[in-house]
Amino acid sequence: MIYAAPAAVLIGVDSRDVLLLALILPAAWLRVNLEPAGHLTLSPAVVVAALVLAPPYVPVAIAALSAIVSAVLFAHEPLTQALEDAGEETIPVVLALVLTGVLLSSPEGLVSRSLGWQLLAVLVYVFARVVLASIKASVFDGIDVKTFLPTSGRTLTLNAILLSGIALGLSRLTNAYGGTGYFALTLAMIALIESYHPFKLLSDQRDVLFASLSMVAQAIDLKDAYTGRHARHASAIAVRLARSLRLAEPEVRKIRIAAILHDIGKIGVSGRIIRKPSALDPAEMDAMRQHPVIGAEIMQPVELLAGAADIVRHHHEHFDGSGYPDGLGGGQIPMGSRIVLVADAFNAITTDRPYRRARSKEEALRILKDGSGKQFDPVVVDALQSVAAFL
Amino acid sequence: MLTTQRLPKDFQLFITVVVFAAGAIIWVFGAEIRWQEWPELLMFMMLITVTSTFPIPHPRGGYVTSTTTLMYVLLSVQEPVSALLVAGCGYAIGHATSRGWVPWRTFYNGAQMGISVGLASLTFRVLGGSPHTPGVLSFLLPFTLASLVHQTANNFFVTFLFGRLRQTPWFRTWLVEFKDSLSSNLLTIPSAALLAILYVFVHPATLLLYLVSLPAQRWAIQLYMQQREIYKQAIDSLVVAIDANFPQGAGHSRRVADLASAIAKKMRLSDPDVEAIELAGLLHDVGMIGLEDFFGSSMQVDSSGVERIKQHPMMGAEIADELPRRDVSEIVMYHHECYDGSGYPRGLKGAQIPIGARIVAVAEAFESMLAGGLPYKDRFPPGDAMEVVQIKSGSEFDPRVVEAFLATRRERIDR
Repeated sequence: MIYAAPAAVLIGVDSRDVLLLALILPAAWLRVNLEPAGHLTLSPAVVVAALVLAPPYVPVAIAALSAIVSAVLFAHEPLTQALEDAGEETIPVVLALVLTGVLLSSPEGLVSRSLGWQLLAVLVYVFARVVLASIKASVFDGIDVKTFLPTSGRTLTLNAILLSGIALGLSRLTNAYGGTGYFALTLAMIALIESYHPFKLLSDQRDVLFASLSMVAQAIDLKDAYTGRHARHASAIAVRLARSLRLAEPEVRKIRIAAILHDIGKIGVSGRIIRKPSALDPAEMDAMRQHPVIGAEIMQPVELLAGAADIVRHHHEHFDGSGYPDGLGGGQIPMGSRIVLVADAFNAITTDRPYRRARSKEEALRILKDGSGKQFDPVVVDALQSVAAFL
Repeated sequence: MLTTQRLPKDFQLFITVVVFAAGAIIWVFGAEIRWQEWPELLMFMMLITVTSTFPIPHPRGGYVTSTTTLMYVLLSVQEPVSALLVAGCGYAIGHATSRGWVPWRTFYNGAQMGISVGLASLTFRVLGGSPHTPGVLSFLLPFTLASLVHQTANNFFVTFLFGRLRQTPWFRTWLVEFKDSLSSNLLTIPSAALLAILYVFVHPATLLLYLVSLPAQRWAIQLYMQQREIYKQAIDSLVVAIDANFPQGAGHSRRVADLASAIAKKMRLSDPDVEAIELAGLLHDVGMIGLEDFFGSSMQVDSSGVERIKQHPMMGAEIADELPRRDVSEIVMYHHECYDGSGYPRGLKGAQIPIGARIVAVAEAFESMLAGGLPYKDRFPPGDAMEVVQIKSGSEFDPRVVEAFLATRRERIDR
């Protein structure tokens, strides 16, 4: 990084473009994950500033770089994910340049164009970003546009408009007063980070929560011969199922928590019973069947988990009424419990267990299909079939 | 509430001098005030009043007022004496509305704030700073130094008076106060500098835009603190539920966590380290889950059980690895290492063992002795347990940690 600036000057890049490139780092650091999907960074501010101040290749490079830096350095995502993000960031910039007709025709870019053209470029950029983000959410996370737009979509749009507005304003200042604008732009980036910081804390906090919940699940698993099964994975399957069944977002959130913590009640059952290889006698069976009830009791008094307690209580009810603890059947069982049961079963079959190897997805689907209408809700099993390709 | 009648004579004198000094400066240099800029001056005063009435909670605890940002803008774009007048009046009114009208306190606070801002503004001028020529030397450096002058003066006026009133050593409090508010003040400099540039180059009214962003920030921080409480509560209650299954019995992990974080604070470790140590204290025995079958009524463990028990730090670390914090799982991993290298699982010694693990080791040993938990079969009275820890200092435990531990215990007894 230290050598980048002199090196760039040597090969003839404007030092002001280097400043814009340097601003990528703070902009990419401020990464806020959104619910239900997507994330925002401060990159629109740098991209828009570059769009109206620098030759066309600069904003394109900045968009791509900021996405990669943010994903690899600050979110520890794999490189494939980073490249995907880079595409999502770069396409809107290219579109804005093409539609305003400056990509190939004018090497100096939008600097010389009127405010109207610059505004048009910004509008195209913001619009394309939101459209791409909604497409991504619907294809990769199964969130339909109607759910995405009023939640993450709205936040993304507001963020892009706000940051673009600030960047556009400061860039005009730069055009009028030269260096002052760049100075102000740098200060603005720091000020923006300061004011966005609480949102980043909030989003990091949410990640820590889910990490802690899956840690608790892992701890419970110690009682069960340590199957190494990942609650996180079961939870991802359950969320996917819930979305494909078009449940409301608050319900999805409860299911996500319930799927991680569904076995927490096993903490109150003796390890001897849980690990017993032979058939349980009636008293042991009774104790074992208490675990959903104990789990719900642990979760009930906790504000954040109370909503998911009911789902946990009924996650061993069978569709034909043969389950426990209350022997509910069909539509009496909460939808969340029916989903968690299927997700957990699918996850258990497709992961290695101490006593047998993991089985293939196809085999797992066949087993679940056999239990459809008996143990499992046919609707949920059908949903699983439709999303299996993504799991 | 203190009133002037109950204040000692020398305090009355000090307060009177400060208030009159502020008044005298305005009287003598009043001609310098650019009255033709009255809309700007009025705007500053109103903004300062509003922001000092509604403080913003800070994520790390306490409050920050966005007043400081406005003071910095004010001191760079107006004459020193105008800054004194506007800052003093605005702050006095805001203070009176939010904390009640006590004449001497209101006047004193207004005057001391006015003088601090005036002094800082003078510094900015003397150093050749001007927002019209924004650059590092011509603006940012004088701006930063001026803000330090403001902070020093303001902290002095507050700590001196209240330190003397409460008969606490004011000079030390002043230094501590200065250190504590330094980072948050330095952080406000970029936004204040930006606002000053916009004020000069675009329009003074751009300051109002800043005011608009305050409720959003306030909302975000409040939401964050509320959520943090809710999350903490959720994780705590889950850990407590797990805790009930530990051989040492319910509450053991919480007590170890509390003691370990007290020792860490005593050793003046950084806040993130203390946080990691508390968390690791809570989780240190999470790898013991599922081992309760090995402990019958007699606490007799066969050799395969011993092997399994010796694995618990590794199991625990694997579980704690789910958290995005490396340091926590390392503490869990090494909390049974001994200072002389005789511990498990790796046999690390001395500084090879993370400091957090050395602390948790002492805390766990002490709490286990009190509760009669593993590997101790009987309960120890606190005095005996402390003696055992002291004897093992240098062999099992890090002497520095033992020292800090003894200090925290002594403080508890004193209280």
